[in-house]
Amino acid sequence: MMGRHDEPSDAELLRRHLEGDTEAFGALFLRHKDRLWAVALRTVCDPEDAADALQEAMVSAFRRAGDFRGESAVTTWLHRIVVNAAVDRLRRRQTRSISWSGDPDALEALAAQGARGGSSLAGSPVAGVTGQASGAVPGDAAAAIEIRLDVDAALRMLPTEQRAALVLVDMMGYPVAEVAEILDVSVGTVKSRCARGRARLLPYLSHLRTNSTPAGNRPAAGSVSSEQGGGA
Amino acid sequence: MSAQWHPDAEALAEFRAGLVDGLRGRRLAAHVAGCAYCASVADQLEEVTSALAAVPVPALPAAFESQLTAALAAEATARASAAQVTAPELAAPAGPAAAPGPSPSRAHRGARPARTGGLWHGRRLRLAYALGPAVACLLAGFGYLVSQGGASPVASTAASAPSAATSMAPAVANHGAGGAGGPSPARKSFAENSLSAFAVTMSGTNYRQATLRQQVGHELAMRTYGAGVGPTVPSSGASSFGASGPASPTAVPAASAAGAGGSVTTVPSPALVGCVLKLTGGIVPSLVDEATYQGRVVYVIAVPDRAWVVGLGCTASKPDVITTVSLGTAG
Repeated sequence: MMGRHDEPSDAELLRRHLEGDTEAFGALFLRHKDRLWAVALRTVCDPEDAADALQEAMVSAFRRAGDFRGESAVTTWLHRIVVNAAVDRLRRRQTRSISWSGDPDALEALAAQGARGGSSLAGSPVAGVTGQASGAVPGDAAAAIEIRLDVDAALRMLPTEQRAALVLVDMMGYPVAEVAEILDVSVGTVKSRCARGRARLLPYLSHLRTNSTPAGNRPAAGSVSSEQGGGA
Repeated sequence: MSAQWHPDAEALAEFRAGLVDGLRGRRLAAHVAGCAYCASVADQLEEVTSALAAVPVPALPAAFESQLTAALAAEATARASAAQVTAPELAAPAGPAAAPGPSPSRAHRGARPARTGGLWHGRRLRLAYALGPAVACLLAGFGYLVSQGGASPVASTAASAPSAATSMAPAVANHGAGGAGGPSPARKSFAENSLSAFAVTMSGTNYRQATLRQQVGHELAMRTYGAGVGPTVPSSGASSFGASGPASPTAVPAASAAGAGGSVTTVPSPALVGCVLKLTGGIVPSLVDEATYQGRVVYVIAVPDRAWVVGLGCTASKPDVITTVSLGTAG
């Protein structure tokens, strides 16, 4: 079965992987890497932990591909494994401090630093808000960075379960029903976690009222429904 | 409705989510309909959703992507090797030198059983010659260079590792969502970062604090010797290996493929790959030995001038270093 533009569908890639195609799983990963990364990063709030979680998840998915029964979308299955790995990593991390400022522009430098075996990201100049403070950022871009940092900082205030639900529903724009599958809870539980999470975020984000502009986090049209969690 | 009482934000959020029904739901609905304050809070809740949606999705950083690609390549190699081990017979292939070109996947799908040198060979990590030059080069990049230990200069290692890596990387990169052919950014990044895997020996050595330096030096020397007695171990570089590799699986020297002293060799876990590359700064190690240190099961990792003893849970983000020692002139 081929998908759009004659590219193999996710299910087809998974089937090829199970048949021994050494390229198929890598192709599947590359197709969804950014969104899986975003979920891991927003859930654990630390680039190195997110990278570890994503790697654990992808290796696990590689090995356990035979467990996929086709009862959900392949992406749902992949997201579930990533979220579980991220939550598991958060539980193991316990008291370790969160080191990422939330600025995606710093991620490349941080990642390179980590890959070179550099020191912890904590305290690194690039992990701070240098982009905002340097004065080199134009006004709109600076405001966008400010929003981003505020949102990331606020998300850290949430319990893990509420944060995971809000990341998937509000930030990533996935349908509540799909998020319920990812988190392996009921639709009502997802809505409740989102509602409580939004209420908790209210004091931290109320100053953004005039700045927020719904933008491009939503999946491409047709990939997910427009249903949102409890917002209406 | 009383103007003195307002539901809290959580109650309002749950009400908006349709989670409050019955009498309480009706009371809330009636109150919110006539309360400007609660309507304002409801608007703010909606704007929280908007603020969250406005945060862009961050792209996976290239360095992390390289690490992940390396981990998946290692998985693919391990799976291919395992598939070979379980094959009842392995038809002796023409060897890498005679069969340039097939992609890892094609080679894997086309892998056929071959005769082995006996059960002992079958139980070892078998270099995947039957899987084609690409996979063999992948292993050459670290397996054989690991075998050469201290005698293998860093420059040689650095030259081999990217080549080995790229043998697998395009298999992943060329099928990205973009479907672009030819050299891909992922492949280039993979090579540039010198990320690859390596073989892990299980020598059975009981390393001790007082003699660690000498014991590691001995292990490195044994691997150098093992490489020296092997019939066709390449001096450096995946390309030279591809041109002059062993002609058949049975030509794999036990000492070089499995470490000195008949030790068993395994493929490292992704976590261990990250740990090792973190400690060595991206240099392919001369030795990664699962053994004991002061009675504790550990990994002993060595490059020509330094060795580390780490716990089995060592990862890139949490290198569980028990001790480290400069090898100086040893090895």
